[in-house]
Amino acid sequence: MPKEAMQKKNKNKKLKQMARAGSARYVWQRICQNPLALASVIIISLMIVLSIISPFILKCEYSKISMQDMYALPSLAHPFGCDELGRDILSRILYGARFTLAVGFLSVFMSATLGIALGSVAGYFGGVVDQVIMRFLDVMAAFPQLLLAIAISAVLGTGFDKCIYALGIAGIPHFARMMRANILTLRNQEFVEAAISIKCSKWRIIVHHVIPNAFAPLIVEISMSIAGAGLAASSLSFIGLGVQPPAPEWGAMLASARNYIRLYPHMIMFPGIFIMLSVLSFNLIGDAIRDALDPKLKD
Amino acid sequence: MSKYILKRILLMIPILVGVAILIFTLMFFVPGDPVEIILGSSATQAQVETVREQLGLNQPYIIRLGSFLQQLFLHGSFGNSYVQGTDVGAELLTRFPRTLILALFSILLSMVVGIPLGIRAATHANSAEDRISMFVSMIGVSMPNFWLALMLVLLFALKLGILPSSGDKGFEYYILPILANALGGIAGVARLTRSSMLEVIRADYVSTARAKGVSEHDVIYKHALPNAMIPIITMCGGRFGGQLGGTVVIETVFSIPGIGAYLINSINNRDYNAVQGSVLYIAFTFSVVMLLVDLIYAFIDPRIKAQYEGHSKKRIKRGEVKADA
Repeated sequence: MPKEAMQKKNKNKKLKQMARAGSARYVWQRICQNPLALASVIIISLMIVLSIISPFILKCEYSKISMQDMYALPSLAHPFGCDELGRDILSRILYGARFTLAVGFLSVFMSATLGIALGSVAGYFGGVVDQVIMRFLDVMAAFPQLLLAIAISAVLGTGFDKCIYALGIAGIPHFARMMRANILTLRNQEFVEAAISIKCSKWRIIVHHVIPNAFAPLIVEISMSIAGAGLAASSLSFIGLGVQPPAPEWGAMLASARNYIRLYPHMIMFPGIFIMLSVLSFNLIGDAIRDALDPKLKD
Repeated sequence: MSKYILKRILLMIPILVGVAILIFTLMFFVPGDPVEIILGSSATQAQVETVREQLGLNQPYIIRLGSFLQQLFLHGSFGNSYVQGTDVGAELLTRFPRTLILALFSILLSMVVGIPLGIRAATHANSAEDRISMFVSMIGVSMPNFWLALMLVLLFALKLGILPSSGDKGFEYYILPILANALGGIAGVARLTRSSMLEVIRADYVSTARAKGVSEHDVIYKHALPNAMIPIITMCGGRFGGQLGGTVVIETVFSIPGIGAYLINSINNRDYNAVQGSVLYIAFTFSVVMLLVDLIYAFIDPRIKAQYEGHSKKRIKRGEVKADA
């Protein structure tokens, strides 16, 4: 093969390797370049995998009560010790990851979908529809988010699914307002004007120009919100409203371990460390995604 | 300026009414009969009917809502607790100062520590000091406040024995709760101050100030900081709401008899009149704080001042975003 053709081929290969800015692959490349974010991705993936396979690989079952091991301190057999019923804390924590992570993901999915829909409708249609939606959201936003989630939980009752609904509904105003603001600013941007001037159809402008641009900041917000939702979920369970014991949700574990703080502090140490670790990881991933998608917002 | 303040206050009224309607509606749909909670399960059908009649519970939604709003806004009454039979409003009033102390000192501590930390990080951007402090603050943001509270109790109350672990018999009882509630705030405020300062430091007017020989201290504190303050104040207002929500959890950990502890207690007792009252009280407080934040804008944001003062309205360019939009 002639040299020139080889060079051209190599160049093409290189271009292919560098993903287009803003694409999912580009975001992934940026995360890989950031050691903290990469570590966070690994930690979250590990938590998910371990939460699924831990019942099969660990010797101690998460729900097995053993009176001999009551309040056992950390040891080789029980690396994190045992709780007041002699249940192995390590297997409970690993199994319990599914609650915190699932509530985090699903409640944010719920508030983002509903919020984006409401915000887009308000932004596109304007006028009376906008007024009605926004005034309603103003009222919802007048509550501190955790308080609204607590109030909704009080009505719905406790449990895994109800915890998701409570946090999901409480998060709607935030996403809706953001989406509406994005669409309002985008409507007057030059590239939309340019698209109109070359006779793009309205549909094409909305789908190809407005929505992709309105989404980038939202993706950042979504990734950051998962951290907040995980934290709120464990707070709800801690005060007895979210996921209920004996399910090994981390907040619920802390709530029951609280009574033994004086004598057996190891029982409160480990669940808290895992809450912090998962929330920290989501925050760091969110930071990396923000840096990748919106260089203007970079710290 | 008074026109702006008046407008803001008037705008708050429909929000407060909306908040009251929303909470009333939520509580209206709570499953279970309040009369059963009041009388217990052994009551006869006739007794139940009498109490229902007395409380007006067999009236339709819209009439009950009307009388609730009338009671709330015209008489300032939150109704009676189902379980204790006491006036919810009076109970909330005695508990409110404790919740307010907790939330207020938490936000003050967040600002007093967070803002200087953020400024320091921004002025030393990308140095090792900056990176470490931002990573530490990220940990602070990620830490659940109730877990931090338990850890603080473990260290300062149980191991060192220098601070009390629960109760509210003096100011020393509030130190640990305030610390636990404020740490997330400190970290959040520091991070936001840093990014807000970094944005401003790159602006042309800061370069101009440096070029004309203004000292570095004055560049940061007189030229950059005032301009960076607007997002910081917005965030602190929002954070205050977070702190108010956080107090619900913190009060439970430290057994402080504030509104949050009352709320959780009432939820557990299914005392929905008390739940309604406490949620409304906190939401109203939050709305008043957000109003105050808006009023602070009027003093620090010259754009708003200009809009409402004399003939300076013309100076605002057409395309410019109104700060209150």
